[in-house]
Amino acid sequence: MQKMITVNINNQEYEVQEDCNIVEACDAHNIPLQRFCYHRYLPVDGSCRTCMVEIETPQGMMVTTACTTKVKPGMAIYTNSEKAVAAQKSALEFLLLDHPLDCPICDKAGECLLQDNYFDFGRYDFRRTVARYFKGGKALNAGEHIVLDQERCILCRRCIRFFDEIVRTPELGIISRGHESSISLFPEKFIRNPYSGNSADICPVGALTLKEFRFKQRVWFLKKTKSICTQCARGCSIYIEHNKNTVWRFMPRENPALNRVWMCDRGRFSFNKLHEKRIFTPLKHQEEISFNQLYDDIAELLKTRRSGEIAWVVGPFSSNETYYALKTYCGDNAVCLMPPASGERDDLLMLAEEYPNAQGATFFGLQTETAPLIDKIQKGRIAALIIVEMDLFNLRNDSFAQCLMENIHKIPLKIYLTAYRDETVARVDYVVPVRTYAETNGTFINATSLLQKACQALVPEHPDIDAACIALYTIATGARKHQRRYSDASEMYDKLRSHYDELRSFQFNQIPEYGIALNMPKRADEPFKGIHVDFNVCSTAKPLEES
Amino acid sequence: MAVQFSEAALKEYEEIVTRYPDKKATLLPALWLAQREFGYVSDEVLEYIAQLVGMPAVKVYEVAEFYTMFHKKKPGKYHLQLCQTISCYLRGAEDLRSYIQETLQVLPGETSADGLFSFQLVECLGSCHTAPVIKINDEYYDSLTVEKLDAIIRHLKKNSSGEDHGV
Repeated sequence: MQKMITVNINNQEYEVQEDCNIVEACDAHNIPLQRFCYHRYLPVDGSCRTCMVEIETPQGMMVTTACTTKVKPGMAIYTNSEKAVAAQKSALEFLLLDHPLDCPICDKAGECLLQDNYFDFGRYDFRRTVARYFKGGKALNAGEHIVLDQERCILCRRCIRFFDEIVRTPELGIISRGHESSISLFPEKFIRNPYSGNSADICPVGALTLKEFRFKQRVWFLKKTKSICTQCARGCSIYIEHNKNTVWRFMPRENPALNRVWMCDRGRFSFNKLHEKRIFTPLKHQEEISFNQLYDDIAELLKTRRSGEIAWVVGPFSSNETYYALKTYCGDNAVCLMPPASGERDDLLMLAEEYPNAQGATFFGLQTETAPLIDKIQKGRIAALIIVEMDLFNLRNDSFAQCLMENIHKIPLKIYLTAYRDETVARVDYVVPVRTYAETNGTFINATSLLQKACQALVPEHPDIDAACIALYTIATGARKHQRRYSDASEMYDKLRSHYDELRSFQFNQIPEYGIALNMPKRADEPFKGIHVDFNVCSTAKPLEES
Repeated sequence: MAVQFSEAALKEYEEIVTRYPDKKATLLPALWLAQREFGYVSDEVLEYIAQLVGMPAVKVYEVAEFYTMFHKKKPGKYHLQLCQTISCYLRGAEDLRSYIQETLQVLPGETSADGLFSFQLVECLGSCHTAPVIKINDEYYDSLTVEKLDAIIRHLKKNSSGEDHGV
């Protein structure tokens, strides 16, 4: 616990953390103060000069930048004194002086600090009498994902600090001087680091924008749904930002213990996959059938089988609810395959395991040993194989997949629960379309044993498409639609939580925003290992998006 | 890497390194050395210096772009630096400026078509008592008038045509 001290802000006493700076002290108590260069997860820079406050010093009253000044016990701070307000206003006026004001065509409009601060703290009369100076440098290609508009830049250096201090690939710099200064790359170089998308998030104006988001949607139309990234075992907290049932971007969601406010490009730009190669109608031998017929057929076919003859195969891609359904309703022949970890990894966030929920499979005690099942398949003792959300026939170098290829003819019935039209679809008898993780509620456990929820953002194209856990429950129990015990995956969670002490006290909608830290062995190191960044995070401060 | 210091320049750089506690501090002297060695600091040279000093290339680029005395483009054989600060201004620097612009057909920041002269306006050269002043390469030409400057330029032109300049 940090030591608390008392300071006096605008003639009122406040308890703040020792060692925080004045911006953080103001944030902790909802005292409005404008800023551009200050960012909670970056080193303090003091370059924008907009967070001016007046403080009492032994030498008398002094106007200074709040972000570079640490609080001291008993310090008297004024954010609204005449001098402080005048200094704030003139600093902001300077930033706006040469800004192109192309908000109508700027993607940042609506979430732009320059707009927000102008409305909150700005002066409303334009005083410039000489011609506006335009830097030029519009829509420059700055990398695979990034477009740079030099003339919109206010030189806060957030992007520079992010690349220098967090990713540690210095790629951007400020060239020239005075009013000609602009953000630039080295000539004929491009931003190449795997975290480049974050620079557009932290850009307070529209100087850095994402190619994938440019001119796609106005930000005020976007609805934000709390979710997680499923591209690797890190499971970063994200917002799925969507409108009209389409995902337009993924944005990192603040989680101090996990991804802070960052995410990698691999995860960020995976949002397109949610709409690609989707499958919406059930298939029987590659021909479309109705959902009623599908579930009737499967119930009929499985009814005659003993449970020992039915095998269930799942991957580390499914939600906890699916694992729970598998464990509870599907008998002993359930196996979870772990594909080899082959992705890119680093010390920041990215992990080699390109799947979100291997820890969940462990938590629910799913069998990962495939040898007994391989044996049964080879001996022809498996009559039905149900594959859950894993492109099994696309798995290379996996002994189980190998065995399956060779002995496929020995299994008379193969059923595949999937959201995507992948290689396995063509190899099975029945395809049961299920929802993607964005179309249902669910929980996932990341590599550092943090259980997080992913809420439903989209409505599936076909109303009868179920979440995988519910489809699994339906198949395993043979329940008809009106007999089903669950109508939503969150109900499955609410059922399973009663079995686990660590989860019992959290209903689905009460799962904390930052997740539940489970007491189980971790699969990977903590994020940002060995990377020391000199920033102050006040635990009492509000989350970023609300401030 | 295509560009590289000559052995003598490298030796000089090694000596510069010994003067500072941190190698990064040698950035400015290294850039000076490079400008002397190569005539100007191209992108290629900047990358070489970055490697030499052990800094990211873009940080070297920042510094080279900040200081106007580093040439990013190849300057003319004679680089004219006309002082535009107050003493020279009062003593007729503006006349010299129009003379240069007209006779050599160069604007500040440009190089003449024959590659002989480049022209730059600079701040005080510290020779106010002999204003107006032009620095041509490393030489000061002071107490100038248009006539004197005309003679100097004629002389330089003649000089260069005497040599095999290739232009």
